[in-house]
Amino acid sequence: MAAVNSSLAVFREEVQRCMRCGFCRALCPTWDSVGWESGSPRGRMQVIKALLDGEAQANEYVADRMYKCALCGYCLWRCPSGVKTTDAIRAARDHLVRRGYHPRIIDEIDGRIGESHNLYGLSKEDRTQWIALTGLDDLVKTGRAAEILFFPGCVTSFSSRAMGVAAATSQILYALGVNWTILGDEEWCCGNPLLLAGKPGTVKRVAEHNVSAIHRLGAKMVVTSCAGCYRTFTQDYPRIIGDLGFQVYHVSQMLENVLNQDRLRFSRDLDVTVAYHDPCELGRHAGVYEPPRRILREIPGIRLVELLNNRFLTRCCGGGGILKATNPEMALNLAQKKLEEAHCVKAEIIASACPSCKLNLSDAVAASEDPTQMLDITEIVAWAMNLKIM
Amino acid sequence: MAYGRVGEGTLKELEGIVGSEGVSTRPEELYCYSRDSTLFAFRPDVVVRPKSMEQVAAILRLANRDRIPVTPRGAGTSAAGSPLPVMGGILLDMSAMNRILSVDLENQAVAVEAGVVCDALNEELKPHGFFFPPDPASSPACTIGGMVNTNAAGNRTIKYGPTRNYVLWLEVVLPTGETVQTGSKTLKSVSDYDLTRLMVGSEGSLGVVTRVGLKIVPLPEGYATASLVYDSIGALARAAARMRLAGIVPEMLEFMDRKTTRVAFQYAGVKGLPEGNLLLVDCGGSKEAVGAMLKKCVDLGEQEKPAHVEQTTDPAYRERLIMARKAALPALARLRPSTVMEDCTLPLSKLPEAAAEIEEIPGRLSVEGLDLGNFGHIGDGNMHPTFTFDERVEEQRAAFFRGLDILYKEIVLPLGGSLTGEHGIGLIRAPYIELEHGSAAVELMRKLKRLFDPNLILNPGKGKGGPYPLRRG
Repeated sequence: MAAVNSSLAVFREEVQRCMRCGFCRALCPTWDSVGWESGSPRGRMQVIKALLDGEAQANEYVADRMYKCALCGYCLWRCPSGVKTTDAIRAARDHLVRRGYHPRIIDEIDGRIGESHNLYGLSKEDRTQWIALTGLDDLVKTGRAAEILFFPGCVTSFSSRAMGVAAATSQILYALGVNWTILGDEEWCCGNPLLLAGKPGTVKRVAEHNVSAIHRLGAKMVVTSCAGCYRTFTQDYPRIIGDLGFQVYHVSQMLENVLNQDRLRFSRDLDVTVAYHDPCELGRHAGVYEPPRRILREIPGIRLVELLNNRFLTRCCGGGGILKATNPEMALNLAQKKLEEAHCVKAEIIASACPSCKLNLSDAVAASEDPTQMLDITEIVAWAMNLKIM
Repeated sequence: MAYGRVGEGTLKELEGIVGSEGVSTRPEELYCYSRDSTLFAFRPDVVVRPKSMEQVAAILRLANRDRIPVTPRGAGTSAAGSPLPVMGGILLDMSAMNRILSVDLENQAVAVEAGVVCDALNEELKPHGFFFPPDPASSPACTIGGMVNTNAAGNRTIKYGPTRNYVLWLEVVLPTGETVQTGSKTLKSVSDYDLTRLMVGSEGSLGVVTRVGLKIVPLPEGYATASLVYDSIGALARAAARMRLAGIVPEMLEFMDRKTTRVAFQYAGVKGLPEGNLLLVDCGGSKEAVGAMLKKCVDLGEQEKPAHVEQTTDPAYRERLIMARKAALPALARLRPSTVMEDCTLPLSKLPEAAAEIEEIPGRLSVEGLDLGNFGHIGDGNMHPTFTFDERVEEQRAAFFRGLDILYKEIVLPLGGSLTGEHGIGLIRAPYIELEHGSAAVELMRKLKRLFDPNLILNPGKGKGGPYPLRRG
């Protein structure tokens, strides 16, 4: 039997339990593209079993199959046998990384997060460039004691195509009159990309840094507009470092609370048909399906339509699982399929609640010159509140 | 008879037919394609993914020339071992032939390639108000080609019958490479030996189905559904019999025993029903009729004193109940590392007796770690006793095979039942086929097999038309 690292060995009983019913294949977005059995979730479980039984070895082919997965969790939700598919795939990635059979981009990402503390390897000063978009330069105070801490995350902070999400969230927080702050250049990448990549070694240090920095500001509530950060803060950090000592909300949850308190005021009638796309890490992974819909339904003039596959059946847009970094063509292809779904329900706007979805779907819109607009829920809320984004 | 080997020359020829992207000898792929949902594992020498009938024909001509075994496979969801390449050779993965070729509402017919997935076809038909009724639990994954080859049936069989009832015509490539079209595009035809029905359920032993013409029917206007929970499986079976005898034909008359219900509800998130054996009654039809039909079913079911009765017309809850029922088999896999489902059918009058005897099998085997759940289509006498155990523990594995002997030799066949209702003989039930059909009928099937497949290259080593003396090349 081949020697396998313990992080994979603990999944021996999981993959044994897979009885190959194939339910997981139905809406697996990546199996569609691969076609071969090893590219399906069921197949990936078999490949892991083969690794564990010494019937297959770590190699580029196995890596191709394990990294051609968006970790969207459809298979996890769909599996009647309860096999922890996404955890097993993450462990298989870890197994491959230890043997050097991983996409090189992962080393780069690891290096960037280790050295620059962000996904892009940019300087820490660049993390707050988005503030210029808010027109609130003097009002967005970084690193001050506050009740609420807004954690934008790397994609929102650094990507010019996603910065609008941070700007919109800030505008909304400001308009609500709450006491809030950001970590600014003290914010480190939450570590989600490394967990997805199978290189979790430095995540504990990252988690400890972020949590300590938040404690120093005395925040009782962390709000993030990123589905990946939300998942990492609510599921991975507690597993890695224990109780965080503050509450974590996705911005849609916070806005729903504000809505319930009758404090969210919309001043524009948008007259637009919107389809909400559930980000995998917010929906299937964290069970947050309704708050974004509730908010969109409350906005005057929005006709909210559902995509054919919605909520736990949502088809991943390809923006997750670091697929965009490791297999950008496949990620774009999945986003284009998502646009086709939006066309079927005649949506003018696809709304999401994750900057990675926004980025990938925006790329698909641009690549195909599609008339559908891609907006984050915060951008729609800011628009309906008539808040100005520069 | 020795089979030919898949050599370098064979691989080159295969690549010439389907392109290099459609041929794999990667050990990881061979491993994945070596399994279905049974215990068995047989590795092919090569996996080939054709995209057209012409490619399938060329592959079969090559294989027949060199006597290389060919095993067709749809989605590999078989619970019989039918798509496993017992003799190695070429594994023909038909899933890339997945186009819906035409939807002809006027003539209530569709034409599809063999690799189209059952649920995908019904998604396409739904907006038109039509559907293809056979509804195996594996419908999210299984292909139409696989359904044709097993005569798949499923939850709605009581009302609509199995796949056989919907196949109008087939395009089939014979093992010798010729292509035939069986049947007719008309709804009725008796102008041939009924080659279509001979192919349906043949488990890929007579030809490779490449295209299928299917009848489709209008969707019911509405549904009403009831869950009746019984303390004993016998009472449940008697309740089902009462409904059948009253001449009521619901969409579904399904059951799950206590163990199965528990895990299936856990998966589907069905809450609020007490523990017990579940009888699921789903009535479909005009909105006015379904309520009255369900009431009649419930009235009859109550004569067997259920512990609980619940009725619903909520589509979401109905979906959830059906999802639970469809997940029965894989949900049982939550209990033990290995799960193997059987597929016996019984005369309706013998169901209560058979259900009670099947429930006693684990006790009779008395091996720690082996248990059994039971569920199925009680409305048409089809039960799926499912063994749960650990195949890696020899004592449990041996007990499982003893359990099969008890099931078929001591319960199903003596009660006048059949080995399989909708999954096929495959490998797992091959040892029992002669007990059901007798040696003369089995010999006739072997002759039929040779007529279609003189070199015995197509899906060799399975129950129908085999087994026969085989030697791997």
